[in-house]
Amino acid sequence: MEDEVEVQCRILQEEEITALESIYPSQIVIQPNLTGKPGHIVTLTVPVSLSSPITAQLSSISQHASSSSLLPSLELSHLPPIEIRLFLPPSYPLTTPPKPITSRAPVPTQDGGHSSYLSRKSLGKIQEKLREMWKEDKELVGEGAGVLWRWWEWVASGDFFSDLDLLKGDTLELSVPPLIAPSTFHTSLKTYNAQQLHSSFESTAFSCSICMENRKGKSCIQMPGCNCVFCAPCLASCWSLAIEEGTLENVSCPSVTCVKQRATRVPGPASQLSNAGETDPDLVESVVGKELRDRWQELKERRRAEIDPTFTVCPRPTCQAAVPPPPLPTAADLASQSANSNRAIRLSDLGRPTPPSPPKSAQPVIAEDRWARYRSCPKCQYSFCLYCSATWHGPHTLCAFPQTSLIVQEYLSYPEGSEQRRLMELRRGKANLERMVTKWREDEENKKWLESRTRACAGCGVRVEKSHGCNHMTCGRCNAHFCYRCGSSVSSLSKLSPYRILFLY
Amino acid sequence: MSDARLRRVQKEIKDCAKDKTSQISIEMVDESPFHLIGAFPGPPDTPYEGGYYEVDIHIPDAYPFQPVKMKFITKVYHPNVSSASGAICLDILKDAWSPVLTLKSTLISLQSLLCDPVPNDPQDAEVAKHYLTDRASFTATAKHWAQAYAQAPASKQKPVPGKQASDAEMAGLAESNVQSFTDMGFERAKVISVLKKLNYRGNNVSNIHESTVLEELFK
Repeated sequence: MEDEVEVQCRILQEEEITALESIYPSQIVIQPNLTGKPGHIVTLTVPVSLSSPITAQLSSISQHASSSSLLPSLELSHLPPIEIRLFLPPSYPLTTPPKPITSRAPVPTQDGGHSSYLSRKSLGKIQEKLREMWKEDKELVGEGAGVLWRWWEWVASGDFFSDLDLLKGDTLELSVPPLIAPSTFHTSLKTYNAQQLHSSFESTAFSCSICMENRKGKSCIQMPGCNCVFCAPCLASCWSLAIEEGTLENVSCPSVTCVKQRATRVPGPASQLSNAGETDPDLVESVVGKELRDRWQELKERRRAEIDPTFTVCPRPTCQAAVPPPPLPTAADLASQSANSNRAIRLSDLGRPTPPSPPKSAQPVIAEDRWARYRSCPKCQYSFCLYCSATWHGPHTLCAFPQTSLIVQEYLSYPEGSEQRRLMELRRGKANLERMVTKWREDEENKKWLESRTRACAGCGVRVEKSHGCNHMTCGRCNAHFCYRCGSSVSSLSKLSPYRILFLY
Repeated sequence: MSDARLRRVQKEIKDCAKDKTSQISIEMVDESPFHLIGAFPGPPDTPYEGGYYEVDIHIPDAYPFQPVKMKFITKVYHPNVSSASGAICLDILKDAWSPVLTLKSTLISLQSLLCDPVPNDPQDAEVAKHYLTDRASFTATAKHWAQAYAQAPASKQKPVPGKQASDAEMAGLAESNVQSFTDMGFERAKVISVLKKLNYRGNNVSNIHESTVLEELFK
């Protein structure tokens, strides 16, 4: 009779273990009964994963009491696994309950292998639950049944927290184990949670809404902030194009709602200069690589320089870095400057016309100073004049371009092959003159083209060409809205009166 | 990259063909999957109801990271659609484009644009003025256009079904107003174009002095 129960039990035990093993293959270790008799010794490693994140507050009962109150609370979805070693007697599950041997809840730190994040008392209750569950079944059905699966679920889902009175309201209260520093404990729980979140993200399948294909989380990227998920290749294509085309605001989440939010943002330099909602540079690098990330940051700098009127752009075509205004001279600088060059400036001023364009950015203090036109590119060290973009010609020489233009115009006013032209060629060099004429003609052509084919932005004056679509333009540089047809500014947010309609075709 | 574009467009065309509920169709014009014609019925309870609207679709090289180019092939009388070229003023076709948008969802947006015109951001100023001055007359004109160009059935109120709308009706103008100037000896087409431009409709007629009209007619 006794043997018959044990035979039945052996089959039931093996079935239960096989079932558990097939679901959690790496989390179960089975050893035969040490005495050689039937029954098993089973070690279960049960990771705790909550269906929704829970706030955890760590408290210390040791001498660290004062510092523990400083520990910020945590948002946890995953807690380190609970390990239990138990003996399944030969007559389990029919007549005998499982017998727990030891249990631990190890803190995953390098030196914290022996510390447990649950108290001995809590672990005892967790062990005891096995017996209780078995008893419940026995009282209900008349004979015992396998309880490992049910118990596993109870631990893995974190339901035991409320049964063990570890929850105060919605907050999980954990005490810092005696041998670990509170901050170490805090970090290790946080790290474990992050690792688990990451690996569960990696193994989840997502449907990328750009390429419309299903991708494993491993090849996807989740946007911080809005949590939208896209596959890495699509996001890389999207951002690379945005960087190459200079539409920098598109180097962020491409979802419909996020794009709409950005597009309806109040136009103006304030929103562009602020860093709010900027994409994390490290994320950009992980998506598009180092080279494009550098380009992106360079363009961002330049965009900022374009919006900030005191900045200018390095005129060398290969550099084009943003050049900040020179630092405001101190009183001592001004004194020494006036002592050195005051007389010279006054002399050179005699009979000379004022410079062609007023200083755009100069502060009143240095407005008088010819050095205000001096700029030096921080990237390529090119020293140049702010007005004419030519190599720095010193504070006393006028910018060359009006002269160039005059010379060219004079040269062109004489008929081809005339004596006057020959004389000018002799004086200035034929090749040189021809180069100047070519350059001048090119500039004129460009000017004409710009006038006829483009429209200045009503906000920042940048020339905009329309390739297709309607006349409602949004400036890519300053985000201003304007009419391509008439050039007037339109506030995208204000309503126009019926008689102030701007768009014709 | 262009492979990804091709795959996505093919998928979109297939998905749209499978979806029978949206009534939106996307078809190829020639062998290229990047030049398409989309079509949808005019939304119910609008002057466009019963009409069938075709849209010319060009898929740019960088699709879906650049917006798809769309314009109406069917003539539409609508403040946000050019009555001459079919160009459409809609934010998602420009700066509010998202690579997540599809041909189908964009066509659905066009359909809902027909339901809710945005006269404050017009594409066609004359139509927008008409819309804002005299809604009833605008609706009648839009209906005439739907019948004439989008094969919408003639409305029940019309005494003679299938009767062609007059050129004045197509322009949303009162026949009596047009006649008062043609009687002066001006060419009819010229009168219609000037009155359209001046928005000579409804209450606005009393605001526009006859001399203003004449000045325009003599230009």
